[in-house]
Amino acid sequence: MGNHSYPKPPRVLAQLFELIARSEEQRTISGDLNEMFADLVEERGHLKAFLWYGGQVLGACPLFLFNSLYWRVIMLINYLKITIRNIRRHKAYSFINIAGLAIGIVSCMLIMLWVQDELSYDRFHEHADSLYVATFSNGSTVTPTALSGFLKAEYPEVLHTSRFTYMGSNLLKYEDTEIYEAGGVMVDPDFVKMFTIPLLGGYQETSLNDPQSILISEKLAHKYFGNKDPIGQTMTFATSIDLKVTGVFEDYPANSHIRFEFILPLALSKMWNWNLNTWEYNNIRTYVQLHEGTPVKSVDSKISDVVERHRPQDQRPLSLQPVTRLHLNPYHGRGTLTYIFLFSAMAFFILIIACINFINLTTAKSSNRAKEVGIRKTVGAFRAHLIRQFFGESLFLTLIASAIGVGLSILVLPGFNNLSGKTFTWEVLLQQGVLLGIFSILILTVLIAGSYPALFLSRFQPARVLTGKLKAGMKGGTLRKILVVVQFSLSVFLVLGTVTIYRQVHFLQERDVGYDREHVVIFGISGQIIQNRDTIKTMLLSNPGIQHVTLVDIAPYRWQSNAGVGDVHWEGKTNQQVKMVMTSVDYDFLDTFGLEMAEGRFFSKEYSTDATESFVVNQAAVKAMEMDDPIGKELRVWDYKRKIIGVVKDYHFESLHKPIIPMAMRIDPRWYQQACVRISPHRVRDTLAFLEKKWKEGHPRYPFEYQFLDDMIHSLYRSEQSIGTVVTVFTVLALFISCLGIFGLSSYTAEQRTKEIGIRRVLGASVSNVVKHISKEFVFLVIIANVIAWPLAYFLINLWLQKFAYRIAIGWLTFILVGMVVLVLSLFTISWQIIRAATANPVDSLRYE
Amino acid sequence: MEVLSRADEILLLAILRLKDNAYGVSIVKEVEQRAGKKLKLGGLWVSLDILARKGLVEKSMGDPTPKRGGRSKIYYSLTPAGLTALERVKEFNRSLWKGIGEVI
Repeated sequence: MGNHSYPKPPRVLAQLFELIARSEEQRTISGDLNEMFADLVEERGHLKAFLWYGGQVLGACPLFLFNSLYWRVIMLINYLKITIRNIRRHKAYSFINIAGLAIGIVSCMLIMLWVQDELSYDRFHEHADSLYVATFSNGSTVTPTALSGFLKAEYPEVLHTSRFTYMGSNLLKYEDTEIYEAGGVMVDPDFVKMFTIPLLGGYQETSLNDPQSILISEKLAHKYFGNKDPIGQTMTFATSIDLKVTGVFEDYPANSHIRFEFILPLALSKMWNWNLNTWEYNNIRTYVQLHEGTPVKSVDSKISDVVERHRPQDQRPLSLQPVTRLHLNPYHGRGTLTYIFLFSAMAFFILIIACINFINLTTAKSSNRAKEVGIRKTVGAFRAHLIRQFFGESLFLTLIASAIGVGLSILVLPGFNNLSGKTFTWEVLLQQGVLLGIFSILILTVLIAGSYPALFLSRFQPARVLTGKLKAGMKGGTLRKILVVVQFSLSVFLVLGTVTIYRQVHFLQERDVGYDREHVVIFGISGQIIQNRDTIKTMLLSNPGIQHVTLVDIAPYRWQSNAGVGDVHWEGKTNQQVKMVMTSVDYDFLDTFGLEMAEGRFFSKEYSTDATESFVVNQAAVKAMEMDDPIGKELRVWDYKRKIIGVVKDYHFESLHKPIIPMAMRIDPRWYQQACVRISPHRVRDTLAFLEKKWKEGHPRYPFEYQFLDDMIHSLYRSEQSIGTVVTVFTVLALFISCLGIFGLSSYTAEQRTKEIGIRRVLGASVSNVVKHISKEFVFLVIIANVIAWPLAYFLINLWLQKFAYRIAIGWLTFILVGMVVLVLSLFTISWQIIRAATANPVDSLRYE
Repeated sequence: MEVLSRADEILLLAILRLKDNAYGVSIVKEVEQRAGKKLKLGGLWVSLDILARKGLVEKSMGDPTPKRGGRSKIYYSLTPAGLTALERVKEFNRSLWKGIGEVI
């Protein structure tokens, strides 16, 4: 060896090789490489040698990888063996770990399914990404009828537009079948081009061009036509209008923001003299389809003042809202982003709680593994190997838990459907998105649950562990305490949330709505009833069980103010902007619902002008218009110009999510849709039988379908109710997993302190002394958890309650009660194990070594 | 007992022929010269590692040299089992070719 220097291979490649060569032996190959490289440089020059070297290094990568995998499989088998042995040796702990994780995974999966379903709304439309609905800045999607045509004509970015409106219940007849159908909508012909509504028969593009045409769902086709082909048949709508069936569409998916059973062309509405080209008022929804890829922002900026240009008093900016977001828009849809967020957070919390169990129990039991770690390290394991091993163990346990979790999910899916009102089948678990979700839950669990034990256990120093100097297991004490606090904070938080949801829903259902909602029967009516309403009323009232009968367009509970508000003009109006809803009532309306007048009088047959010239308004309207003396003032709502004869006391004609808004009532038989009958509480059954009999006499072919007003009011809060139930179930699960965790920890503590307990007992401590002493620290943790959870819960509960116009006060009593319950529950769980240890004969416990 | 693959046979023969000087570079050169195959050094190591694991080849560390950038050599030699395996392959080839030489 001398100072003779040999040519060196390129540095970068040499370093790359060092990187992939994992063992010392593999690194010797770089020596071989260097040697040949030197020869090659001499024989064929630098470039050739350089290329050769690169090829060699790159070629080695996959080969080395293969080689190391071979060895890993062998180690893996060893790891697996140890894992299984550990599971079997500590059955109770393994059970708590796996059961906790499995329940966590089930909860997570079900919630995820729910969330995914909520997010999937309206995604099935072929043009979902270019479909929008014209929306005012306050979230209202009720627009002028002239908007649709204007947008299409003026803006080249717009491909199609269609107006859309629901129609309420209407009679639909074919031959002998005549039934009230609720699911009717009216649209422009382009609607079927924009939305994906697969037609089974008829030609799609033109199917709604004829104003006298109708598209019906498969379900309706079956109901009316049986096995007959409905295409080309004539159905009678609203007793007198003949419509030709031009198409049958596949039953519309449930995950859409719109629902319908039959579609009519909007052009048909000329029968009722609707003004379809006006900017004067808002009463229809406008859907817009942009050309593929048009940025919606650019269109928004152009159309924001379209309505204002035509009707200067409406200055709300207009924009296009994606159809896919409508379902989660609180102003419009049934679902809300809040719940999506709430549920996702919940799933995450439950998973965290289950993971904390895993971390706590694994680190608590780490003294059992310390020796193994020591020996593995002594015989040459690096820390990385041990980390890999413990991660692998977590993965294995999580896999078992996932398998159990998936099985359980399939079992409880029907129950979950019941709770959530969804219709999942087990096949949904096979969807790509869901599988991906399960996979990410799994990875997340392994990362959260496995990381701490892996880092913690792998850190042990062999010399200290093997000589017994390190009291492993006591070390993670502080962290375990913190984690228990986190766990219980989350649990307390969830319980508080659940209790609040329950109280609020109960409050809404029981709140005085301003009218008497008991014992009112509501049913749809036909034109025949409207025409003969006076004789029918007299006939019904002759039954002693019937107290009042009235006809209305929309019964109080089911008003939706966002379905149409009109601008109002009145005597003495200055600059106020007042929106009003208008309802069409009958003379008996006040008595039937037990409403009270604040001023003036209600409609009466004694005044012939009431039917054509009078309005009754509510107190909210008077207040909004700032009228001092409303009686006799002239008021114009939409096209109706009448005098106010009375003011009715405010009542809740909408759900309690909404405040009471101004309302005007008029007598207008053309709009009647429902009959409301107040029956005597003592004769409910007889009276219903009487009503049904009379109905059959008048309409022998249709069933008598009725509902009780109070049931309907309850149904307004069904979404809160079902969410309340789902949340309760998951909260109970979360609490259960938390208790499972401290159960494991306390039994571990009891086991660790067997000797201490024995000595205390021998020295004269009573069982209760010992239990008190040991459970003290757990109780302390639970109290801290409460203290942390309360302010957070208060803040979020308050936030949630803001969405209700009428809401409960958050009582501190609830907080204290919930805290107590959780405390008692955890105390009970802990005592279980500790009492067992404390009541054991001290002789046995002191002799155990 | 399985018969050696052709690739393993070539490697074992090269090691046998190189006697005391069988290490990465020399084996690659030997194989290239005799069989016309260009081996990758990384691949060679993996193949030899597997042969070593099967107990047909033994490894021993040599000294580092400056030409090798301060890296040791690994010398390979045949174990008795390796020799037996070669003999079996030879026997096997002979029985396969028996009587055929006269035809071609």
